[in-house]
Amino acid sequence: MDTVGTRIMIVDDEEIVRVSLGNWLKEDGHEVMLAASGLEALQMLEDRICDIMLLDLKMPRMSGLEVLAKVKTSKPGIQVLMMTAYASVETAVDAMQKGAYDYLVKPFEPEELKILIKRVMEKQALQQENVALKQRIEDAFGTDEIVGECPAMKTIFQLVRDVAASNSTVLITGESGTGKELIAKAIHANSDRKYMPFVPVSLGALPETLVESELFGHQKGAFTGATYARRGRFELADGGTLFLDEIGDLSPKAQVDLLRVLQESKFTRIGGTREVSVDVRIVAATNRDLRQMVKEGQFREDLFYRFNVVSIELPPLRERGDDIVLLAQRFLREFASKTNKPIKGFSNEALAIIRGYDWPGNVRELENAVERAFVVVKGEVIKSNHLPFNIRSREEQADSRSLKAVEKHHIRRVLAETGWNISQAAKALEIDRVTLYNKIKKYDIQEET
Amino acid sequence: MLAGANDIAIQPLGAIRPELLARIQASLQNIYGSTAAILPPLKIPREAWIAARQQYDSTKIIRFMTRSAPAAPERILGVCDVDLCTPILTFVFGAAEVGGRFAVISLQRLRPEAYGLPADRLLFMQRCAKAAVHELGHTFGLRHCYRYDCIMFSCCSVEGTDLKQERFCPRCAEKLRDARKC
Repeated sequence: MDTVGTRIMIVDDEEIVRVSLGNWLKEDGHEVMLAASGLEALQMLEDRICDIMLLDLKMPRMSGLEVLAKVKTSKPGIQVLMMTAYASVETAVDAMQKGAYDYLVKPFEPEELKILIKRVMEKQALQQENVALKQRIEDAFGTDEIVGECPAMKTIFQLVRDVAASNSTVLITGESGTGKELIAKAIHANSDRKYMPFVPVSLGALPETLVESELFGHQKGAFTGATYARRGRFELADGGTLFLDEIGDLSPKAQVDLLRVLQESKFTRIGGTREVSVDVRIVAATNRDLRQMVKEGQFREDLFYRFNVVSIELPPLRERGDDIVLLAQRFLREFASKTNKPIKGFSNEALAIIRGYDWPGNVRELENAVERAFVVVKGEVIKSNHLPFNIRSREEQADSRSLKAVEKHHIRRVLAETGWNISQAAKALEIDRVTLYNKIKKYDIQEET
Repeated sequence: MLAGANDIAIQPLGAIRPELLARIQASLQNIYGSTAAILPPLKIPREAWIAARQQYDSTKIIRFMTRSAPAAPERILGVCDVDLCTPILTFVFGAAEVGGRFAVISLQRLRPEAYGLPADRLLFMQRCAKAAVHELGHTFGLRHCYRYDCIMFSCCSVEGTDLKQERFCPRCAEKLRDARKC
């Protein structure tokens, strides 16, 4: 922690105190302001910034305590250290109650003042970091961060804001890769729990034997290998949001255990005897049809209704129209911002392929495709040949039913591969340059830009 | 030795042993590359005495030096063998005007005997030289350094003084060079 450069105001009616202490603090690299009275200090604070105020308790006209009260009202960020020649418990308690950070009895040890200033600066740095982190949470998980202009997504954003304020359990459904966790985070970030933990747990990835331990924790020696006691995800999420992903993959036993917790908000660690109470908001998600699973007896009906208090269904990417292009451009910007690659955007043909593809893997697949293209592209524009083969070939297959279509695609691909070098392309196609020019004109093949 | 010689003067305040003044003089000349003259001693001003604390106020001593110093030297280091303090701090090893002309050091708390230890002449003189170089560094505008082995490191105990070297770290040396160019 570097305290150099701290702005410190000394308020004392004795000139020798101000000067000597000011010089001593300057030697430590602090910026020092001197005020001979409370009134002068308050006037200086109108147009100057200070981090710490060293304030004498006993001054004529306006006392230190009066100055303290005014500073704490108008500039609460300033940490005030009271200085007094008369140590009395009453005045110290009074000063602390009025918001002083600490107090020093004159004369004090140099080391004492150094440590106190360091502590104040550490506190201020933590407060600033706290504000910055809270802002980052809001920036990272707010709905503003989720791309979506289509009507379905706009409805979902409104629903997220509406349900966030409540404590209701939310069930998010949608195909794999549609952004269910992102929506869960947005619910958390818009709720009163936003500064408490958001704890995701992917139930589908856990072996059945570990689900209980993962969710509820265990005591030391509860089972072979449980060398230490461990808190489960429910305890970790206390006060915050627990995101249970892939709940359709829960075993019948785990369904029973989970139902009990949802009903009672209490559970016991494996091997433990004490009940643990938690205050957790549940957001669950699945890509499976839970209603159908209930009908088939694979999912408990009572648990389904516990989860399905508010449901949000995310549309697959193929149904989100222009969002596909918006998302692709967003991902490209994000990758570009992390590197120095000067990528300007997509060619029209690449965008047409992106728009036309059905994206069975949804947003996740789109992100991967853009990343792949970003890695392989050498120029400033991502062209169709930079996109993953399966996406290009799907497009070509869909379009290549006639002989003419096949020929057009083939010529276009060879031209792209040769960088539109007509001689090389004609040679590869085993036709002369004039014929190639004619075919380009006939099929209206245009160079990607 | 740093380039750019400027005159420094050592002002004994009260009786100071010549060999100690010579040791301080040698260090200042070596570190600052300046001539360091030893001025005739002055009495410590009575006005700086704080009877209630049985100590001298370093700020008042510097003010006294300001009034009684010769005009020529660019910087003057006072050396006294009394315990220094400020109205607000229980003690100081020394004091200086940051970016100014005057500094003062006290020898009182640099002696091992002050801590119940056997006398150690060489260690004592080394501490005095370090304190002199440190306080004079402030008059060149240097602030405390975070490096424990740099002469500009701030320490509230003699143990800290013993840990630091009698030289500037590269960063402070560069700052000193910049200050002397101005």
